[in-house]
Amino acid sequence: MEIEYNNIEQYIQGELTGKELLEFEASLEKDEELRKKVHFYQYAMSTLADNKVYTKAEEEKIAQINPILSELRDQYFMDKTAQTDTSTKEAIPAKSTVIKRWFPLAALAAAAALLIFFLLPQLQNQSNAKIAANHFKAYPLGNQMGDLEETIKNYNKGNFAKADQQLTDLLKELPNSPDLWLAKGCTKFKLNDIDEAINSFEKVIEIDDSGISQPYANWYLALCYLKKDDRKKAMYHLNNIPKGSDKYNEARDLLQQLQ
Amino acid sequence: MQAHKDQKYIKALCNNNTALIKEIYHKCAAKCEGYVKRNSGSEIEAADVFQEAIVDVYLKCKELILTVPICAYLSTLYKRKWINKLNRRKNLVRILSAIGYILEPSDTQKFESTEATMENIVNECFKQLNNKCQDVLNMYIKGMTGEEIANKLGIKRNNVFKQKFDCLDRLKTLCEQHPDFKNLMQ
Repeated sequence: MEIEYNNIEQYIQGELTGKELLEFEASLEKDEELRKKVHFYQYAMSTLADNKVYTKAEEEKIAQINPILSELRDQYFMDKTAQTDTSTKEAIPAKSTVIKRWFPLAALAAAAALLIFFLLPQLQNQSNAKIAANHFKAYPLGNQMGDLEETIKNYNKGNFAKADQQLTDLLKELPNSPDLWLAKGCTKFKLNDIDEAINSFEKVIEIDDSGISQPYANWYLALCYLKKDDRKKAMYHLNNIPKGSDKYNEARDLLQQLQ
Repeated sequence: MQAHKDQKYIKALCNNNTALIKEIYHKCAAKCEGYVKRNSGSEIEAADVFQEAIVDVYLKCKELILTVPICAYLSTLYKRKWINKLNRRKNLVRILSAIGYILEPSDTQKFESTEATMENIVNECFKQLNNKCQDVLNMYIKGMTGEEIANKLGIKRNNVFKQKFDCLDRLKTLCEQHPDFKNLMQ
């Protein structure tokens, strides 16, 4: 029995290897009682460790730092717009100053919360397709595209039917241009060919090694999926837009609206 | 041992220096969030494990000497915490499925409420164990090895394991008799 306890302990600690591990796993497979016990041991120890009881001294110590940590937790995990606006180099003033400084913002936030409370039913009534249409703005093609002037002109003017054919031709010559694929996707979106738009934006993710165009591709993919009434995929792509990149703030706003 | 230049952050935690503590969040929080989200977690769960990691560092800030960047050190803590949580969930699903209670992680609401119920059951039953059992399990929870516990209790290492698993068996029986556990099965 002592050997068995030893084995269970080693198994739980991840110390069993080779033949011993295989043998133990085989006995787990065969012996249902042992299996149940081991799963319970692992679960219980992990639960107890997670809810570890602090000593009184530790609790008192934690209480001193908790207000700071709670504020930073809210700021960096729950309200990312705040962190982009605030320089980290700036020293944080004393608490009373913080209250004075943040009071107007808090009042604004409360007003915004009230507005959201009253507007929420209306927002929720908005269809996904409408949300997508409201947020859609075609990716701006710049003049860096050189002799593609006419295509750019048509595209930027909103002549998407013409631009579509021209972009198809151009992409045969420049198949690895993320900008052109973004424009192609936006064109398809405007022409209501959402499946083709998705293919184009996915192409951007595939070919864009620099990562610069990825936030745009994810943003437009989110709008495409909204148009297809698939919020889950839309939110997935919005969540893929990294912090600090273009479209990040817009993505967070839209995510909030969708949640 | 030469301390890493990020040792200033450990000192900042000791001194409750808000500006520098904020820098820790600025440098490392997004990495934690990315890691947790890539591994089936949410923003709130990322915030939880990050906070717990910071508290761990804070509690040993007087003796801790940092030899790696602060984010790297914190990442070992929050990653371990997150992996533990995922493993715990896996084991919870196994334990409950063994009694015929099927728990789908995709059913977030049901999963979270069952998870919370089970955690309460375990914690309550732990308090019903005798002092000896609580002491042995607490020593494990605090990270002491079997060897260290054996030395402290003046017994053989194998007997420590026996005591530990006897206590866990008692805990298992208490949990299975808990009214909330029985309710889960109905």
